[in-house]
Amino acid sequence: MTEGRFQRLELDPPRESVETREGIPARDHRFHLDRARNNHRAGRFEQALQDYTRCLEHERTVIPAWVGQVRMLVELGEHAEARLWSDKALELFRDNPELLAAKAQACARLGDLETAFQCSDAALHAPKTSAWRWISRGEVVLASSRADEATFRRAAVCFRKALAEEGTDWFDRLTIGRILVYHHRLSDALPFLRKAARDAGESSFAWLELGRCQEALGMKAEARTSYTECLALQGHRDEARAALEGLERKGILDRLRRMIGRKY
Amino acid sequence: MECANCGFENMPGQPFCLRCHSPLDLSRVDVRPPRARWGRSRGIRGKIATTGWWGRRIATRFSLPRLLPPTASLLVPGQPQIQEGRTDLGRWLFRVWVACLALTLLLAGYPVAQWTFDTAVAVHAASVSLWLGPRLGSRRPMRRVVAGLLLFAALRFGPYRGIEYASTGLVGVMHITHTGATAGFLRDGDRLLYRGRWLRDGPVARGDLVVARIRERRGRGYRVLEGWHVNRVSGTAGDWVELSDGEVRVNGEPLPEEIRPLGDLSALPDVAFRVPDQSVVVFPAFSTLTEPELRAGPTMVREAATVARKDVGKVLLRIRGLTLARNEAP
Repeated sequence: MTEGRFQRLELDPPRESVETREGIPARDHRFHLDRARNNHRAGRFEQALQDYTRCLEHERTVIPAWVGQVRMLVELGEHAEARLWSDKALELFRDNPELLAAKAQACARLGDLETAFQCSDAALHAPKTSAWRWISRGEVVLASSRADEATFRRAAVCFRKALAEEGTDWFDRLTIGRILVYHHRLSDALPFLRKAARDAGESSFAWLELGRCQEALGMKAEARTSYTECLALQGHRDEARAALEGLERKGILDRLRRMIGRKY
Repeated sequence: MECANCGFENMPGQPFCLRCHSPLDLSRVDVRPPRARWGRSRGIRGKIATTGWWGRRIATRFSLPRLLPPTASLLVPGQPQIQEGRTDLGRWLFRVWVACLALTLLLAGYPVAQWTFDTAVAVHAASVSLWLGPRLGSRRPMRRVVAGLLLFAALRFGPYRGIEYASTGLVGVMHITHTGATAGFLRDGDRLLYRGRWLRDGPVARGDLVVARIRERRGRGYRVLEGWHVNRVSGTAGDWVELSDGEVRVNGEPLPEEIRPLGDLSALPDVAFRVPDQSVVVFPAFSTLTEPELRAGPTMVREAATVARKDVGKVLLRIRGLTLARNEAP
């Protein structure tokens, strides 16, 4: 590790290291960041948001935690709050590309496409690239016109570029699939969700999302299989259990209720 | 001090990064994000928030959700469900409610309008019941049904009774089922929209088509039954009205053809009288009078024709099927 030019000046006391007991990880910002990421990948957005906040309480300079907070607010449907928070984060970390990408997503969901494109452009013009920046770009393009096939093809290019980035995994595919579902492109989302579920391994969240998408497309048998797989991986996943019970109901009232109360 | 944003090594004590101008001291920064008070942020609020700096300020500081208590959402059916994230259900409840109210307006005056109005109340009760159910912690279906029925009764005889009262105060609706002497001008099935009791301060002139409420009155040898009738105004306060051989004269002059009362009045006994203050003369159609009333003679006719001003509603609109006709002579 290189030593900074001013580290030898005796102005600030050196930062104290966190004492840990043997075998028990310290509950520092890294611990909370890891837990937040795990919760995010498991679809527990509320807990993930809390963990990102705890991480920042320990260390305010962790930019991924700020990005995570904005993304969690978007996932929870609090788009106006997400935009507000991304503005605040960008005041602290000016022109940070990951934060700009998160703001672009919030703005796209709020329908402010002009700002969304500006932020997305700025994020992509910054040095280096990341899957998240391209995913966000894809969503902004997708939000610009939902019914236009040409627009969708442009968005698909962005998603392909995102998946071509190094270090991408099933969760990026799942994120893309969920974005497509959000924009009512169910049949386009299906291949992304299928691949994500196959690669997810132990994660039940991907199977749950795949099941929901299949159910919305009327593929009941496949949806049932996905929900069952989800429950096999995580027995106490209430959403999957409720969805599976909903599929079993065959009465007219149940069908009506399913039609009214369907997720997508 | 290394900048967390760009990695530039700054002098200790420097407030901002020399390269990217990001603040370096974040120790006092609040890291708890703002949360939507009712779960998901609403569309309108989001739209206001995106209009610029002032919009964001207004949306975040003076937004309606922060000013109103959370229970205010219960005023609009479907709104609590939308705020809970069950957008589809909420939207459907709201649509059905609006459709029922629109049908009530379209069918105003027909008995079926009562059913559509009650359905709108039931949809509202269902919305509130769905919101209330999990909060009461009861999962037993029977309890939910009972709670829903109680809510329906509370809404029907509470706020919706007030709405009903207010709407009839503004505009009354008369469904014509028996045209009587007004046949020709009116048909069975017509509906008349007339000024409600809160809008009766406007002037009423001779010849205006009105809906008059006849109040029950008793005299020596006669009794005027309570009821409603439709006819043109023949005289206003202070006029000297004469009915002779079915012809109406006001202040000695016969009424012009276009403002004469509807129907044939020749069967009514002759009568002459001055119209009292705060009253108008609306001759009842002959067929609406009962035999004892007719036998009672001029006194009864005067009593039945003199209507208090507050009991007279000027007809605003005549609705015949899907066509609208103004208050004009046939």
